[in-house]
Amino acid sequence: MWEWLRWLESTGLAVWIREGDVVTLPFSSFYVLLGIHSIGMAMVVGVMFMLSMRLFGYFQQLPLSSTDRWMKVAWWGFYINLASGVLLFIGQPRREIMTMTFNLKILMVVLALVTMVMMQRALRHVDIVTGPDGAAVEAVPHRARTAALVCNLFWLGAIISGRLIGYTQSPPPF
Amino acid sequence: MTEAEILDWFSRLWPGPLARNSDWLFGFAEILHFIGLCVLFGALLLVDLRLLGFFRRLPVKSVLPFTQWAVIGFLINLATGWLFFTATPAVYWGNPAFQMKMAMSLLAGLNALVFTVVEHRKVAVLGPGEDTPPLTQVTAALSLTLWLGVLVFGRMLPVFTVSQN
Repeated sequence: MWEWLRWLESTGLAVWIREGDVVTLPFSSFYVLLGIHSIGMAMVVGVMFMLSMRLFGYFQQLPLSSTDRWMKVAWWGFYINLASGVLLFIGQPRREIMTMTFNLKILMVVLALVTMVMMQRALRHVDIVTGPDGAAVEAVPHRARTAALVCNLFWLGAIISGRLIGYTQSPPPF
Repeated sequence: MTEAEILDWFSRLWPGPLARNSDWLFGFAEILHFIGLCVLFGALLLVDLRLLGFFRRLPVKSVLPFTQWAVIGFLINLATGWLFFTATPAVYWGNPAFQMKMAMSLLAGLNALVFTVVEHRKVAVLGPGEDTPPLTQVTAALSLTLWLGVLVFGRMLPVFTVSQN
């Protein structure tokens, strides 16, 4: 596999990712990809955080039934990061695999994704109960709340380990 | 005052010296800055997407309260941004990406002000299925575009400073 990764690094695509530009300088492809990667991050982590707050009882005017549709935005954020992440990886795969914080980040991302799916599943069946003032209230399933809380922690872990990659590795040359 | 004197003055403001003398504070602030941007952007996605006509089944007032968190996210980033700037003003001052980022943040802030003063009350009463007026849609689209721009230019800061590292 190592030989295959070494070959991957020598491809035109990998060279462009490390050293090329999107159209022209200063838009170096590496930094444009990182920019796209932060957009995806803001989408998935941001939406998850807002929905978590709904699950914890804030912003109760937002119907719980809308979370499934909002999660589409979060998942699109993840898909954008999967694509940009794979490209960034292709630029220097052997170095990434050998970097502890990178591996830790991938672990955090996988765990975050698992909890996202768990949360979404738990929210598929929401009971309507009578609240203390007699009005109909959507009961937040405990599982969804726990999954959301843990999910935020894993995304935080991904952000921290992601940032630490930047500290343990210098960026590729331009 | 010369540019050097201005930068020197900034570098002595709190928490510049604190950040320069610490080996972890700057990095910690960077992580907070990322969190702040996720909070800001996440909240704005919920508000602006509805204002643009997506998620139309929701009444507008079910998402408008999230603007509070957009402000919180912005304040977190203003504070951490101030730390970065006072720690190493020279890295940012002449940096074109930084200048673009600041210009776009300012425009985004003005845009938010226009929305709050002119449109907020009008749209808060809109129910499920109802469209927002054109000015609202413009401010919502501008909001997302400008903050995306801030994000991208922020990510490009090192392109212009790498020679100084």
